[in-house]
Amino acid sequence: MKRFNAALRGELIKLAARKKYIIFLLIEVLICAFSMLVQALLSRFSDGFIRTGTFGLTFGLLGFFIRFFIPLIVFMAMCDLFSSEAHDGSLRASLLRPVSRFKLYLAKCTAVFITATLYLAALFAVTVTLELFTGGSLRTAWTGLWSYALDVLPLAVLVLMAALVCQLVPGPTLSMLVSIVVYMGLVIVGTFFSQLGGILFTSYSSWHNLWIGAPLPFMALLPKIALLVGYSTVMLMGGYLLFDRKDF
Amino acid sequence: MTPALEMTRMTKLYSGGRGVRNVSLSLMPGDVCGLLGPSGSGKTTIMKVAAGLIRADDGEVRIFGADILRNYEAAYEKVGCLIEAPALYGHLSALKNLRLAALTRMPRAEVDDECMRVLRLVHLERYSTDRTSRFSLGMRQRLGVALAMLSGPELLMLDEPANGLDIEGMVEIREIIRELAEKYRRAVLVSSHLASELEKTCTRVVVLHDGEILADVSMEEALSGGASLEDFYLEHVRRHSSAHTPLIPGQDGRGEGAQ
Repeated sequence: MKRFNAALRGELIKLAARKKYIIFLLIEVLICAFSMLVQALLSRFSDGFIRTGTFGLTFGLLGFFIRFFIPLIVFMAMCDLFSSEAHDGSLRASLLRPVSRFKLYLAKCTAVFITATLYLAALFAVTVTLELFTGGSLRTAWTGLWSYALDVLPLAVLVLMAALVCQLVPGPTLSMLVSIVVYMGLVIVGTFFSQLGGILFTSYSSWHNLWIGAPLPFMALLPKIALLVGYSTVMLMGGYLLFDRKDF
Repeated sequence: MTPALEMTRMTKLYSGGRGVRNVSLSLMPGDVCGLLGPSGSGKTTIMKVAAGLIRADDGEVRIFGADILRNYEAAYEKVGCLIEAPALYGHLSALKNLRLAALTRMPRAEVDDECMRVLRLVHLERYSTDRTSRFSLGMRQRLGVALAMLSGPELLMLDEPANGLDIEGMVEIREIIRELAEKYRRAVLVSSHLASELEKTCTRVVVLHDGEILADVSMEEALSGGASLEDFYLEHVRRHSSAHTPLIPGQDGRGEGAQ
């Protein structure tokens, strides 16, 4: 565990040292502020006719960020930690340490998952703060927190899918492209073929919508969680086996 | 005494038949073993298999008695490597590169002191906060050696360590290797295509050609009779590959020039 923690810290340091992740975080904040402004202007110019409900921003933006913005961050971070490092040879620096390949693979996936969760947490903090300034209540913020927490699990599957793609596809640019194409393909298939929607993990990326306004039905949640755990296991093991057999 | 590195009948073949076949090698603490051979002879492949970067098709590799496949972390706990070009993160400073490597090897409280120690060793302390992407080839190579030296490894594997180094740098690396072996009884495996470099550094030499070991002798034995290591190497290689390729098509060059 000590070595895994050290490897994880290393991967997080590498991601944090790349300025683009700070810039994307600023973009996230700016999108929130801009949405708030548009919402306020619409409300004002329509004399209150066009108005989103309390905490509309917190829930409204979650759908966009969890389906489009954060997946892009996940694909980018995964390509940085696997494909780019393999491409420029710096991956050997990690491999030449006394850390097993399984722990290294897991550390890289965990680092990307933590980064994605931080983006989600930042989104929650910014939207709730903005809403509180415009009359939202802390109680609704609590409901919002549950929605955000629920969306973390499908995010883990997405991270493992991106890691698997990076093992299958050579080169950082191609890995990024294939990750986006595969993800968009799954989203489109899930949207247009409702029978398949239930078994595709991408359909659960904004599953918080299922639980808004109702107490969490844990029994109904269990099979879906089991499905996501199944996806995670297959992708983790598939990706790791490919990574373990690679020559560097 | 447990060998620092023990390779038994190791085979690794790439597509096209290149690679190494049936390599057996044993390195004891205090040995400085040089792998000598031309490009493509299998030096880097042996280094990469020993470092765990590639997996052998057949055979066994043990480091301080630990099988590298079954007990990876224990095997590499006391190993420092520089394989091919130094593996550096270009967007990080020299110090941060070292810190990342040190995190998995020692308690956090000791990391900074150890990083500065190895930076001083290779005379890069002035550039500790500079991004490595701005480093020259020689500076990168020095930093690669510093990375391999972190936490005082008991087995050091250096693949062409003199690459890109100036004369001063080459002499310094040579002195570090000698001191490590003589004073601290560390085992060092070093590869080079420069016979003169290995002659000055190693206590033992392994001659490689076409993925096979042609000779594995002490340096004294290789240099006996007043021959240089280059002569020793050429003698073995020529004996191995007797076929002669003419320089000019259709002419074997024997006697024709005299006409």
